[in-house]
Amino acid sequence: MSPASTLTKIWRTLFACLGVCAASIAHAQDQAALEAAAKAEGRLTLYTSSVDAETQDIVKSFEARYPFIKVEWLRFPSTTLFTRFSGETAAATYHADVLYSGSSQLYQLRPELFVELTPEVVPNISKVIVPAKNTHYVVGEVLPHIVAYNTNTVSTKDIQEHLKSWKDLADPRWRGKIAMVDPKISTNMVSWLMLMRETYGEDWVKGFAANQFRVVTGGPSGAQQVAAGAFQMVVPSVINHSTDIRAQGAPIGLLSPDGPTHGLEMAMGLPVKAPHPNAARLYVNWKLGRDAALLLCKIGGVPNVPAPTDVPCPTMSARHVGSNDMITPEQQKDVLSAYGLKP
Amino acid sequence: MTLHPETALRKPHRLPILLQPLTLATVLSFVALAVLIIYPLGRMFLSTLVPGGVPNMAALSSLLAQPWLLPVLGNTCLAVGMSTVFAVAIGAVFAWLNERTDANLGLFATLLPIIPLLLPSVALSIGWVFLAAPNVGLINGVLSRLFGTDAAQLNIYGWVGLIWVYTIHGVPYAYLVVSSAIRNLDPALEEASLISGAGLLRTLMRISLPAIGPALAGSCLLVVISGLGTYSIPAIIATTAEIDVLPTKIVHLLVKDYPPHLADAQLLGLIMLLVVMGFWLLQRRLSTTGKFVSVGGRAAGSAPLPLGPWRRPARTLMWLYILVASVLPIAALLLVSVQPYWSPVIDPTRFTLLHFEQVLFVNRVTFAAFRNSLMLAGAGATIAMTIAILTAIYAAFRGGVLGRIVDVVIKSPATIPNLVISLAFLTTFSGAPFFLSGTLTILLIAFIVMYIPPGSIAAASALTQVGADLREASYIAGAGEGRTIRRIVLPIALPGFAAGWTLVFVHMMGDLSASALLAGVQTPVIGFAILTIWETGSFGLLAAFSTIMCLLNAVVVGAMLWFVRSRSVR
Repeated sequence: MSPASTLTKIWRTLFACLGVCAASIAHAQDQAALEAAAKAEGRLTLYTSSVDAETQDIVKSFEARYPFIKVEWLRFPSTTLFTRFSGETAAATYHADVLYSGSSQLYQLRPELFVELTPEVVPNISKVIVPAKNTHYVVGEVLPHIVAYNTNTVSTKDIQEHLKSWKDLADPRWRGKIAMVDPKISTNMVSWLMLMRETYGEDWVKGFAANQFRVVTGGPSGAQQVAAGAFQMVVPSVINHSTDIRAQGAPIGLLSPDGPTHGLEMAMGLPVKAPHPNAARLYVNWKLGRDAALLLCKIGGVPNVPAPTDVPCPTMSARHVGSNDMITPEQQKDVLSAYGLKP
Repeated sequence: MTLHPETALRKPHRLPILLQPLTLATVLSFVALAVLIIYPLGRMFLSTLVPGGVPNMAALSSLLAQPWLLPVLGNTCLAVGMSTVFAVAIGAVFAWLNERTDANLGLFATLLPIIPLLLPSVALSIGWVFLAAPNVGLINGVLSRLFGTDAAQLNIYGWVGLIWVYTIHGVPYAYLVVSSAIRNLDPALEEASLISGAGLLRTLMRISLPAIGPALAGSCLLVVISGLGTYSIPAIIATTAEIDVLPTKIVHLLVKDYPPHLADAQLLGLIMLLVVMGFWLLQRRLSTTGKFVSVGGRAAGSAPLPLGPWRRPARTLMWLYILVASVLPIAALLLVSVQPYWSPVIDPTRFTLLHFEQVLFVNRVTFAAFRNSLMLAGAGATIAMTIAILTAIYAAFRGGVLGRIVDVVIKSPATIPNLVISLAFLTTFSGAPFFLSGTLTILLIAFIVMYIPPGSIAAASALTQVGADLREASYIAGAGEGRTIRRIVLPIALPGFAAGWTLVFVHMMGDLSASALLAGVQTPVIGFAILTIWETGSFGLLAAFSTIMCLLNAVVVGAMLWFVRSRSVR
């Protein structure tokens, strides 16, 4: 190698280093400016469909990292959140800084209501694994659908033997023992019903409906009623629906049957008219960072960024099927009727 | 010398009548209330039926074509209708037993109408879910252990459960109206009938019932309005039972369906209002057609009717009511609130205060909800009672056309289901040009409009205790109108006003109708917090929250009772 080419290489490396350093400095400056602006705002309002126990932990951790921001949140199922948010938007009254929901329906139907999320707005967005359906929201975490069952009324051996696959939900053995989360609270529930129908066919739907499942108002409510012994199991559940009561010693076991692993892709968006836009950006970026990922691993969710390697963390299933949130009213009516539910 | 009270009152006036403080305050209150009632309702219905001034029947046609409409109307008629029949029957029998017979429960008889104050409908419904949910209800747990089988089970999530809770909720309303009518009914006719050998049943059917006919019709109307406007009972029981009724359907169309169906919800509100108006006209017609016998004079010194062998069963029945309407649901709330998670198995070794800690120190919504509700109910009850007292004084002492109109306007919200008022406020004041969405102001105004009628009734009733002779004496002694009100009227009527304030306060604390639609994340109130906790499904938290709410109400009602008693003793 000639001395000239060696010199060229050195220069190139030096320039590259300078570029990286400049970018880092610029990022640090941007971050510092963002934090200063967020500090001036001092508040953040989340509209979330996550269970309270999870939100409490997440908010506590965020506030510990950014003690100058006080977080408030409103918790409702996705559909209720969307209605409230769009009603407020129509009335030109703005309260929500971040929307975090188990359905991406609103972000897909009304993308103009949400800020376009680019790495300039949210740097950590470049790390996400499961992409969003458009650039106006980001998938914050994935929560695979599972079965939560009462370990006092059905043994682990029994359930593993008789509920190997989702298909076994139509086994007459479970007649009158299943609670099902109200599909109308979120599109992801209807999406799960559609996927099961597509996978196992109409006869399976009839068999499952013949098992006289009882509709419960929500996932956490279903898990609590299972813990109390009202039902042997609730479907489809997610791990954090029962985290708090399991910690209290409730007899709840979790099972992931064979078959497609349908899952909620928790969608996070920044409303264009957010009253505290900088605190919101800071939060969304933090939610896609390491601290939030560590917390999600502890709670049982699957972070949508590379999982920390130094702690045990649930991983994305190879059979993961994301929720179809763009279900038309006709499709919803059709699928609910097939299961014998009121449209 | 006897002066006519009106003449006496008018004598000290020096200012032109419209500038006198009492008249001015009354007129202002009247205008404000009239605007707050008529404007939102009018705007809501006009925007649906004649948007932009052009009649639009499309919304109505669309609603009429909905397959769920008839079942919803049918379910509502069945649930509210049946429970009204049961509630009025039970309320009337209890009122008669307490007012006329030796089965009177004495001091405890006064508890009957106070029960809903201690245990608002939302806590009552949740309490009964904990008692009679299939498999896990505490009563079902006891039944299972008693009979060794799960065959004998109660199920709150069904028609029987829904009508049952509606009935328990409606009994005190019916009791209040009917007992007051019986108290004012001269017992001489009943006694004459009995002496003539007519027998108990015949006397009841031929004398007592016809005499209190208007009161029965009035109590039916009150229970129907209360049933139609109550969101909490169907939200908690009918939703899980998959029984769609008007209140839940309206809220679902507005806040649970995406995109929301505003026009359908508003038209359902209109239907609800028309139904109530229909009942109101019917009740007025029944009261004025002369088919009922009105008997004047107060019952004085007559001996209670001896029930003989029926005395004990009658008393047991009333005790049972108190048990199922308050003791059992409160006990269930308490029990679930100290369990780590809801379980029919009662294990005192596992009792914990974790949920109370969550409600009071950890959960930000619950604490803020208590703070906001206490603040709103305190301010709202004070403003509502001030208006109610001023207008009641005007109506009672001055009368006239203005007095009568003001009285009608102030009581008119009682004929409009709360949910319809909330809906009208949501569509009128949320957006431009008011922008009151999710603020404490919109809640405060809605609370005042919705809950001023009971305050007004209490204020008017308290003023009847102030004899005209006392006022006349005051005027003769040279006191002006203001001084007479301050020195004579207020001190005497104060216990009644305090009772009215408590009534309004407790209604505002337990409200769910306005809270479901008008509260926001910055302004959570008790009803809003209950709904979010219910949706989250944290039953322990819900039980602890409801228990604290009952405790707060008990403290306020207890203080009111103590105050009224201490003032009465003087």
